[in-house]
Amino acid sequence: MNKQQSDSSRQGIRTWSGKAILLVVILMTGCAAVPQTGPGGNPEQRNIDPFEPVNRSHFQFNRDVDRAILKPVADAYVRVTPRPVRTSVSNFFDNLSYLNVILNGFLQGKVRQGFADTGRFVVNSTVGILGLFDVASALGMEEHNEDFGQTLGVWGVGEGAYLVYPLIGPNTLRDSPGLGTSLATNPLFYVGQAAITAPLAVLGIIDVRARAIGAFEFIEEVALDPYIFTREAYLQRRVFLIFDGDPPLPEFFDDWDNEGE
Amino acid sequence: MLLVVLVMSGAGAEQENGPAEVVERFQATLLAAMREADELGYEGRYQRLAPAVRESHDLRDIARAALGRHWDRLDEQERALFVDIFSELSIATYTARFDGYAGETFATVSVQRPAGDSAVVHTVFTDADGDTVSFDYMLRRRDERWRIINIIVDGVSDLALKRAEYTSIIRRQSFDALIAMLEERLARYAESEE
Repeated sequence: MNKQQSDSSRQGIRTWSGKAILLVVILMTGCAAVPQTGPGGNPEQRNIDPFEPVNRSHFQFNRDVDRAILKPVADAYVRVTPRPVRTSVSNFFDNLSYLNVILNGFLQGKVRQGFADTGRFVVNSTVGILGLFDVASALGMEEHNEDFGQTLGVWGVGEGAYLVYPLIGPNTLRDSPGLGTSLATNPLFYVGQAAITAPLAVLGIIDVRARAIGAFEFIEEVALDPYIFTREAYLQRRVFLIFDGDPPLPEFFDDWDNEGE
Repeated sequence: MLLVVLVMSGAGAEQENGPAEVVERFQATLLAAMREADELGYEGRYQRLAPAVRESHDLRDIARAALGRHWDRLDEQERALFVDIFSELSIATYTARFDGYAGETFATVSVQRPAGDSAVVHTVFTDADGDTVSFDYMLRRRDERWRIINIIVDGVSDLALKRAEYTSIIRRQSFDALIAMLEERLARYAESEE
C-alpha cells in the first residue's frame, strides 16, 4: 500500500543533487556538535530533537518549495510519462547509487553480499543497458539497501540529533556524512560536464519526488502534526534499515510498556 | 487451583484463537470489505469493519499507550472521551485506506513468541502490482484473549508515531486541542469518502 512512503526518506539521502549540497552538509555537520544519545526510548526522553525550532522552519520551507515547484512538476511527470519509462528512470538512478550500497555492504563486513551486489551492478550496467532495466532482479539477485549512515549505526555510532536540511529534508547527525559518501560514490559526480549532469540531476530529483507521491499524500491525510510524523517515521525507518529489516522486537514491546503502565 | 484452571483454559483457547488466528480473521474481514467497497460505500464499510476492529484490537490499551504519561493526568471522563474518539478514528482510518480491491493479499509469514503473553505475527501484504509491504502485528494476551496492540508497517510502528504526535500536541497546545484535531480528522474522513 504505502511502500513508497517508507522508502521516500532514504531516497532523499541517496540522491545525487549537486556539489552545493555537499558543501552545506560539511558546514552544518561541522557546527552541529551534539552529545550522543543512546538507542531506544522515545524522542522526548532521549531528546533526539534539540534543534526542533530550526528544524521546523526548515521543514516548513521544504514544504513550501515542494508545493510551489516539486509537487506540480512531479505530478505532471507522472501524468505525461508512461509507467515503463518511469520505471526505467528509477532503475537508472538506483543503479547509479548502487556503488554506495556495495561499498557500505563491505564496510559492514557483509562480504558475500558485497560481492553479490557487485555482480548485480555489473549485470544491470551491461545487460540492463546502463541500469535502465533491472535484469538482476529478474534473475533473482536480491537488491539491498545500505548507506554510510547505516554503516555508522552498525559500527555503534549513536544517531545524534535529528536534523532537517533545507531542500534535502530529514536527516540525523549520524546520517549526514552519508550525504557525502553517496555523492562521492555516484559515477555522475565524475562526469564533469554540466550539459550531461545538470539535466540528469534535475530528472533524478523529479524521480525521487514522483516515487514519494503516495507517501506525501499519506502524510497529508493521516498526520496531525506532519513534522513529528515525518521525524518519527524517518527515525524508525533508519533503525529498521540498520537491522536489515529485522530490528529487535523486545525494543518494540519495551517501547509500548514504558509509557503506558 | 484457580491458576491451573486459567492456564488450562488458556491452552485450550490457544488453538482456536491464537495470535495468528486473530490477525488472519481480521485481515479476512478487511479484504472482504475491500472486495465489496463499492456496494458498501464508506458508511457500509465502516459498519462492517467496526466490530472486527473492536474485536481484534485492544483499543483502550492502544489509546492509553498513545498518550504516554499524559494518560495519568486525565480524569476518567477525559479518558473515556479520548478512547471513544481514538477508536472511531482507528476504524475510520481502516475504512478510508482500504477502499477498493485489485487482487491484494495478506499472508502470514511467521509467529514469534518473545514471552508467554506477547506475540508478533509477521504478515506480508501484496498489492496488485506485486509490491510487498510487511505488516507485523504485536499482540498481548489478557483475560485469555489475544488482541492486537500495535502494527509495524515496513518497520514503522503505528503506535510510536501516534504517541509522538499526540504527546507533542498536548505538550505544545493542550489535551482539548488534541481532541479537536482528532474530531476534525474524523469529520474529514466521513465527508471525503462519499
